[in-house]
Amino acid sequence: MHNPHRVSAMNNQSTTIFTQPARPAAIREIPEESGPGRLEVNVIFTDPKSTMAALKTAGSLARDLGACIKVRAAIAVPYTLPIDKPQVSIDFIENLLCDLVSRANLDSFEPSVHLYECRDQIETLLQVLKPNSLVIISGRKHWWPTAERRMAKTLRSKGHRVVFVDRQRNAESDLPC
Amino acid sequence: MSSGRILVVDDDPQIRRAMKATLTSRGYEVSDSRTGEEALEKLRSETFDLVLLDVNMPGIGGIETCGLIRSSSDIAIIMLTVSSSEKDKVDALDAGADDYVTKPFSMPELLARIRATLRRLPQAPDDSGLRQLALEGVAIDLSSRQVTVHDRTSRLTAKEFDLLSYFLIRPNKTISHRELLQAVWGPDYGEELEYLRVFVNRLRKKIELDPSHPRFLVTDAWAGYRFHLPTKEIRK
Repeated sequence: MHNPHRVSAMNNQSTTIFTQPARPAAIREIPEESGPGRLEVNVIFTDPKSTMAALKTAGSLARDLGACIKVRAAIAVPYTLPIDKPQVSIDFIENLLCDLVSRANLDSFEPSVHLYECRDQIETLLQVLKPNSLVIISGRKHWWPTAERRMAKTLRSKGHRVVFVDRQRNAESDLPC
Repeated sequence: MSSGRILVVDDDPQIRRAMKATLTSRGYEVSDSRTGEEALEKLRSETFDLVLLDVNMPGIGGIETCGLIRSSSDIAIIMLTVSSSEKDKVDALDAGADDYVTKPFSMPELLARIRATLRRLPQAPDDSGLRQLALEGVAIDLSSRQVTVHDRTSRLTAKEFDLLSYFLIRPNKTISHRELLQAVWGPDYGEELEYLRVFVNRLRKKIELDPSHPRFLVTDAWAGYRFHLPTKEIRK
């Protein structure tokens, strides 16, 4: 099952999974589900500060619900580039996410990081999320719809239970970026 | 109906007798103790709303007794002090007393202070609530923290159980989102509606036979949630 190379999991999409604790060796494989019955709290990567805010909320939700945490990052690659050549290095995002997860001290919730190189973020998330998933998205709260709020709205409309976290209220200020 | 349960702690039998007679005539249920040790013992086994505590007693004194009571209970305490010195009053209040009365005192003043102190007490949880429920294959026992659905034990997390308990002791009452969030998660919460929805959804999956058509945990649109129960099924 464990393949040292990134594999194509779906059409127009490749998948990478990293499992915490700390900074693990990259395990790249087709996504597989965790044990039956264990609730998943899915944190969607948006930007580092927002993701940290989402991870904090995910930590308290996972503790109260006895759930595990999955961080999902769908990296949209423009059609002008090959699917495995995103604008931002996938290794950089991998390091960033592993760093964020280890900073959030979520070891007891079996956190894992899932990276998807894709053409369309929302479509990809809709494909990889289980039906009626619990999803946490963080972003700025504005009176006009932001990309994060639009994403939350779309996921909600597809039956997922989305918790939107205001990053201003929940983020830490000691993030590297 | 009793106006409240009062424990009178004084080593002087005459004062105990007089207070018992007066307070009983005003509708209070009164019990008495001669010493601080006896009072502490009584407080462990019985429930009171207020303690009238003399400062000068043999054995552990009133101030120390007050501190020991306060360390484990939020019960109202009125100290009865002989001295009107500032230090005694400060000591009594610092030990956790809610009020003090200087001996000799008039009964109307003492009664007024008792009424005022009892008024300030936080509202006790509704004791008329359920502790147990057994209905259509669902059995919930708050004391043993057990939930069984069709003879299968359902595992609830601590927070899920806190939420369920809050509902269960207030059956058929619509509870606002804010009240639920603040009661179960703490005073800093109140706006996290999605949070609450997640937990109610999880609870429904665990206690309802058909979570998409909940029988117990009912949503009252724009208002909150209600634990719906036919009253005849309530078993205390």
